[in-house]
Amino acid sequence: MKRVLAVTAFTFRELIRSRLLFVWLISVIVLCGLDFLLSILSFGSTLQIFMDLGLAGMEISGLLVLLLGLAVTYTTEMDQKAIFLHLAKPLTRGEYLLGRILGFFLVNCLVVLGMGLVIVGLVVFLGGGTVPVLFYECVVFILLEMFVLTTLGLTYQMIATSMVGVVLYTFFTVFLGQCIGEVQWLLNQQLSHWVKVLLRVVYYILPNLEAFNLKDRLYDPNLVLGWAQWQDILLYAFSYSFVVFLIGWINLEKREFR
Amino acid sequence: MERTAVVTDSPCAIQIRGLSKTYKTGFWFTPKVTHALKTVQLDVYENQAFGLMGLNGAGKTTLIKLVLGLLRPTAGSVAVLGGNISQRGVRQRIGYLPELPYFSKQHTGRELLGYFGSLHGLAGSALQHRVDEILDLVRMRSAAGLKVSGYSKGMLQRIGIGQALIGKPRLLICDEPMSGLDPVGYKEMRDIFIDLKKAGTTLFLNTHILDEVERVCDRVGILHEGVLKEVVPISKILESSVPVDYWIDVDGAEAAKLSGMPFQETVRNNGGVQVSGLVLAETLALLTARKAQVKGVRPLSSQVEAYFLKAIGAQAHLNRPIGGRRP
Amino acid sequence: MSAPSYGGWWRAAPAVLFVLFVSQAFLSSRLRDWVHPTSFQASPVQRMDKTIASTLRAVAYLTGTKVLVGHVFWIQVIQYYGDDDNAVTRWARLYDDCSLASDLNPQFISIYTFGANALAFHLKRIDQAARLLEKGIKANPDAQRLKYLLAAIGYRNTDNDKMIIPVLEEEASRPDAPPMLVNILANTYQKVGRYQDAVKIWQELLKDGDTDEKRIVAAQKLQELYAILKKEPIEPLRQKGH
Repeated sequence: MKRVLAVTAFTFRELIRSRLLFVWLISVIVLCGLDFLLSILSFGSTLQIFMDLGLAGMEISGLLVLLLGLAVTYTTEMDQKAIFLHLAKPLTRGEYLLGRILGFFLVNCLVVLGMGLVIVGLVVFLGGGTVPVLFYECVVFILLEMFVLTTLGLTYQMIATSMVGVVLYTFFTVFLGQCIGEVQWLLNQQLSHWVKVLLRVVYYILPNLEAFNLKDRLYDPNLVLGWAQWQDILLYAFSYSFVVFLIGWINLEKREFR
Repeated sequence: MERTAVVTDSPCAIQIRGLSKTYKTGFWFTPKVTHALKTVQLDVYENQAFGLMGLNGAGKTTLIKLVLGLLRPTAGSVAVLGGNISQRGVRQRIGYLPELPYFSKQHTGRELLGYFGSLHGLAGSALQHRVDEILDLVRMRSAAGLKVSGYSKGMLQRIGIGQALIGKPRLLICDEPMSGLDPVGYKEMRDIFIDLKKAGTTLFLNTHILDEVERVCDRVGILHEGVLKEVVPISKILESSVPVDYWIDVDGAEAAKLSGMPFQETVRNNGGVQVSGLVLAETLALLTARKAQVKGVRPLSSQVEAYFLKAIGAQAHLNRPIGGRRP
Repeated sequence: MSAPSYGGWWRAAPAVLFVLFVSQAFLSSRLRDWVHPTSFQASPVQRMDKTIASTLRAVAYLTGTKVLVGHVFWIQVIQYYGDDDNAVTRWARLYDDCSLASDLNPQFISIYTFGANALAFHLKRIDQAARLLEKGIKANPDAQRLKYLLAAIGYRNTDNDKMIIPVLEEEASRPDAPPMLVNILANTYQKVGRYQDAVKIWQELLKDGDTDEKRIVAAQKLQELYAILKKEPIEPLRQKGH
């Protein structure tokens, strides 16, 4: 585990210093500007717009930092072959991958929680309101989503043969994963057997990002979020990430570095 | 220069048997197969320095990557320090310097060495102490706090050798270790290798620089087009009678006297002539007979270079200087 | 001596992955009950540019920002609502705008209240207002406001103005009420003979109206009411109205 943590710290430092946080800073500035503008224009729903925009901002900035981080580190590690130095050390490839995932996730936590603090500040000090518990739960769900996406992104990095490939695969996975609810809706429609089989495969293979999209249900009276649901979502996030991590690990073990 | 005797019954640091590597490229309809290595057999003995020589594309880097497990063999096997490279314990005792090492630019030299040291299981004050030792060894103490992005090529190479040595390796594998070094850095690196060898570290050097081979290595392997042509002790090469090239300084005004000489090649631009050792005596005799003013004679290529060229069958190159040693 | 091989437990990797995948699929199916409780909604639009509607839906669903896109879209809908210059284009498609916004953000009560008030009491499109409220009540069964509003619209439809006054009073006092709802309340007071209540509202608008047009309308209305009440016009009216 010491070696995994060493890789984590190395990755964290690399990402933090590679000016990725400028993206975060720009996101915060844009978010505050938009919040200010929309709160003037919105009609008695200032706090709602602060929270809606803030939660979306957290997710988008986390995703941006992830995508840029994947692009930057692909260039260093794979294109410039810096990975040779790591893999020639007494470090298993699984440890290397896990360390990278944790390093990326730490940066994402920093980005998401940092923006969360800004939003709470806006709601409390500018909007004069209180932040509902569900808001904090939304933040945890976003972090879980980021963990799944980080694992997927790093796994793509181990499989893909170009930086563009890594970014595109991650990007499209995010889009398709958000549509899992619509796939479920389609499954309830009158469709042919084979189409349904195909949809079911898609449903189970793609990450169910809809499950982490609690921010779209912030005001949903039908939402029940008890211990059972927390158990489900935590188990799902970690089991999905584990399967993806294993796939990444196997690919990395089999990968040849010419 | 101290040179250890070649002891062939010492244990093997690297044992390669029937190693082949084939690359498949192209798409479905245009598949291409490249044979990078063809059935290589090689033993690298412990406590010795082994030099692998070969032209560009000969398969030297492929061989190193196969030894390190970065590539998987198409056929054959590799044993490193008596075990499999996939074992952590084996890699714990290996240091590797790739050709033109690339590091994450966001770290300082000290941080990089600290990180690689921690991968070797070092921690706390032991790690700091080792990092300081290495920084002193590679003369990077003053620049240790600077980010790698500000390093020159030579500094990167020094940090590269530093990270390879951080775990006190028993086997050091270097791919073109002299790349990017200035003459001072080159000498320092060579001294490091000689010291490591004295301390009992096995060296596997993959290099173009034949002078380095001559001064550091005990045995040499010559790889050409994926085939290991020869593995010979350096002492045997130095004792061999492979002719080397010579440069004869002749006064410029006398150059006309050189026409019709039995040279394989002449170079007249600054009043001299390059000849093979095979015709040196005959040429000097003819020049003396024509009353040309011979100012001096000196060897152009080393014995190792000549041996190497002969081994790879580059007959056409025998009378041409390679490298930048033309006067 | 051996080649750098990846034998051992790696050979079991496909089987391990299969087992993990099946268990992960089981977990995924457990999520279905509470993650997707509502079905995908795409109300048809008649008066609105279908490309804009589809693009907004695509962005919202693909990026997982339905609530945000719905909210921002709604903000731009209400910006120009009170502006007479937009009567032809925006008022005509108000129901479509409300449908799209409520598809994306079904729990945003303001869409239903603002939309229903404007559609029923201002634009006199009672059917559309009722349909919008029914959709809102279905998505928000606990929102009593929507039920009252639906009742009020029913009374307006049968010219039973006395019954809708309490609902209008409640609605007009809320911060997210459309501005013209206050005017509608005053007119309804006048219609049912509660002239003093109507006068109070117009006097307030005459005093606090944020545009000259609003103050002129208030002055005219007060003049009309004073004529009914046989009262002399008050001083500010003379100054501002004439």
